[in-house]
Amino acid sequence: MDTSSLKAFSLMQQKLRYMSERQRIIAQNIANANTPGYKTKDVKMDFGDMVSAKSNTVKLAVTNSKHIQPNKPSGGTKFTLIEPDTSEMTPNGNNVVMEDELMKMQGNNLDYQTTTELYRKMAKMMRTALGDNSGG
Amino acid sequence: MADDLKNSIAVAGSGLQAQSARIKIVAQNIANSDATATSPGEDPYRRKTISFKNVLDKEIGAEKVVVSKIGVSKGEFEKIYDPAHPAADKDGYVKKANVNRNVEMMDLREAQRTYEANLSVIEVTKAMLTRTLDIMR
Repeated sequence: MDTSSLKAFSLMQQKLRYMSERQRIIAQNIANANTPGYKTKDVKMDFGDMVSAKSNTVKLAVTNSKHIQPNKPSGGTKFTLIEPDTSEMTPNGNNVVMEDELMKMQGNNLDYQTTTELYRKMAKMMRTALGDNSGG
Repeated sequence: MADDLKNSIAVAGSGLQAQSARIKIVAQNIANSDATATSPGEDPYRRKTISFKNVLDKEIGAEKVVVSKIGVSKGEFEKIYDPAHPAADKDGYVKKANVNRNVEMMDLREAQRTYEANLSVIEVTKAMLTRTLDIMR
């Protein structure tokens, strides 16, 4: 058992954390669907950065003074709150599109389901490797 | 992680509260839509209005929705010609509540729709929490 599977655990944890955060923002949007002046918000996470930071453990050989190492992995992931443009804006300045929010929420829910299921399967594999037959 | 999900439920709960307050106001307006003045020169029921505001709840780190103000509409009263009415003025007109039932019904439908959306947020969040707990099984 190498550490790559443990890395998968930490990646999945981060994804779950991101999706919980997103769920909170969607709940906020829906609760404020009729609030004058409220602007839709969403949360963004740079997955590409996360993957490269995590998997980039191979160091390039420096055989020349002009060689440079790839960017150092940035520690941890951060979520950024964004205010996306939407298709509608009511006269009172609110731009929450209820349908979009509900779709986002269902998509988030499915993703969450996928990730937790993946997490469970991974843990099950670990248990199998440890010789625990009851877990399988 | 689980805290974020619990906070989602709290935010959706604030949405439910706000929309039920709105439905209460709409019900009040509709119930009083036929009200007339009781004596000449007196005003009948005035339509009540409600407005919402987003307030950052620092404890949960998200913006909840709260009722910011319950006011009264400044709209003109409708006048009906009914000289026999006890509240009729010298020209025979009676003032009637300034409630437009179509507007109230529209408001009611919007409140209902938002209420349902908040309910489904709670349902989905609950499912997500359950799945988080399922990891342990």
